[in-house]
Amino acid sequence: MKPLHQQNYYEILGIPREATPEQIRKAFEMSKQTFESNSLATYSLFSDEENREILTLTQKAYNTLFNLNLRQAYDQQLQSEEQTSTTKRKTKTPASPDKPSIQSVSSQEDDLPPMGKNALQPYIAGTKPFDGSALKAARLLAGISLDELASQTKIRKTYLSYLEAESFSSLPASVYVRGFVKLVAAALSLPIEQTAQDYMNRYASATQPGQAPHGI
Amino acid sequence: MGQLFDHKEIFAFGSGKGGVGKSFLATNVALVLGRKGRKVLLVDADLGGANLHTCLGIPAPEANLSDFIHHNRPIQDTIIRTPFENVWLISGGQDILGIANPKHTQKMRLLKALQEVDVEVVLLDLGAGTGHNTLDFFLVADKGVMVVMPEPTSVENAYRFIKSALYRRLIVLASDPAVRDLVEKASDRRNDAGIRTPAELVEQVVKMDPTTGQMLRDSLKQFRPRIVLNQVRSLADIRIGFAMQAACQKYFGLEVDFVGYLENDDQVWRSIRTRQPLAAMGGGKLFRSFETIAFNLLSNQQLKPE
Ligand SMILES: Nc1ncnc2c1ncn2[C@@H]1O[C@H](COP(=O)(O)OP(=O)(O)OP(=O)(O)O)[C@@H](O)[C@H]1O
Ligand SMILES: [Mg+2]
Repeated sequence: MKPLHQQNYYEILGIPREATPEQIRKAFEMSKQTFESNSLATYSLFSDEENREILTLTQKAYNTLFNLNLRQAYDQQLQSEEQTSTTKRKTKTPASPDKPSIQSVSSQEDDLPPMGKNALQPYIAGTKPFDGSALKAARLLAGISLDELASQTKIRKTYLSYLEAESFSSLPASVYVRGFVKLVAAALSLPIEQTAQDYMNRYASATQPGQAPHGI
Repeated sequence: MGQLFDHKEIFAFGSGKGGVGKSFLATNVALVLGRKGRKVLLVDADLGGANLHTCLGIPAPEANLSDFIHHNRPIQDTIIRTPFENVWLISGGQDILGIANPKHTQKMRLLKALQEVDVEVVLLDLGAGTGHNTLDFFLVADKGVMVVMPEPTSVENAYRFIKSALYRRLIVLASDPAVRDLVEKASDRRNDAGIRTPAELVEQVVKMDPTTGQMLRDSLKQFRPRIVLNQVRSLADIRIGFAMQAACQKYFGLEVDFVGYLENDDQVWRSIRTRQPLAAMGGGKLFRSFETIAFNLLSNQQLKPE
């Protein structure tokens, strides 16, 4: 989530890029209700002035996106801004925290930059232990969504995302976690024992007694 | 294998403001789940204001949570049968001293023990307010449910609750003292760092320390409180649930699920006066609403506008 003034029209209305006119209209109706003056839903979060500011922006977003021609022009503008910002990003050092000024609205979890085929090399070569991000990278490389992996492994999607994010405290007891990791490794053709061992090492060091686990 | 991975779920009911219907909701959701054949354990974690037994219409049991926390009694021995099918209870401690403030290790021991109990769903009824105990239970639960009434005081306290829980979650994640400082600072709305919302805070942290920033951002994504509106009186009241979702999205950068609402109903106080849980009578105007809420909680779904 970016500050309001940095959000594009899609983000302001909270809708996906491919939203239909009907979705756009509904989102707009919803913001009108949410940010009207004396709104109960924003009580104590936003002042009346902030509500007005948001409403003005939503109105602008709606006017543009609901009109087919204006929307096309806006989409083009967004696209070219994104392209320049990615090329800018490429010329910078990888560690740069700078972000493109406009990003696509993607609240999805599969929101990683595209990776080359050798993204998993350091893990397989043993220079990096198989951790949550390795599981995620392997899944993305295989082009499998969390939902698909969930139905393949019969592990709940929420647990899969906790595994990837290493939210250990949200996961069940360690025997289950080990079982999960093995199933995931098998589904993603990773070395099963190696992956389980590396992952459980991380799990153990993060959940040692005396140390508050994540999320508490 | 299905058995193994069908790990039990913990739901926690919190609110910020007191008296908005947490215990009432938790009790009736438990009964509905029980009638559907799920094994349910209700835990009265309102340390200091325990009254779930009354909601169930049974006298205060002798064994209770404080026996487990302070006297090392096995958790099994504190669980009592209720008159309702598939519903068990761990009653809240009646001793006013001591129990109100269990240590971190005691809370962890409780959560671990709850994982071992042979039920499918655990419902934690929390106390009002934003004390650390309450927040911690809310944060470790698989699903945290906020009960809100459509009135400014309740809405304000609900937001304060979400905010406190959120900052507590972030602060533990931030190991870098500078980041920690910033999180602490940001939790005061009139901070001089110019940070107004958690969404802005995360952006700031990303600038300071991209790795931690990304971690906080992920943590925000995973924190997904549920909202139940209680005592609604009109369609306009129900819409407030959807509007609160939109407001949370804009302010906190959080996805919040609006899982259900309960109408204001005179039957409620009658059921409480006669100490007969509403859902036990079957049917009833609110029964469907409890079913919807239970279903949405179990299946990660929510109400759709219109
Ligand atoms: N849908 C409803 N319609 C009418 N009255 C209701 C409804 N829900 C709750 N109430 C009333 O609100 C009272 C408080 O409910 P309850 O004890 O469940 O709140 P609570 O949030 O658990 O309170 P505390 O913070 O003290 O634990 C009930 O005794 C009942 O009279
Ligand atoms: Mg209560």
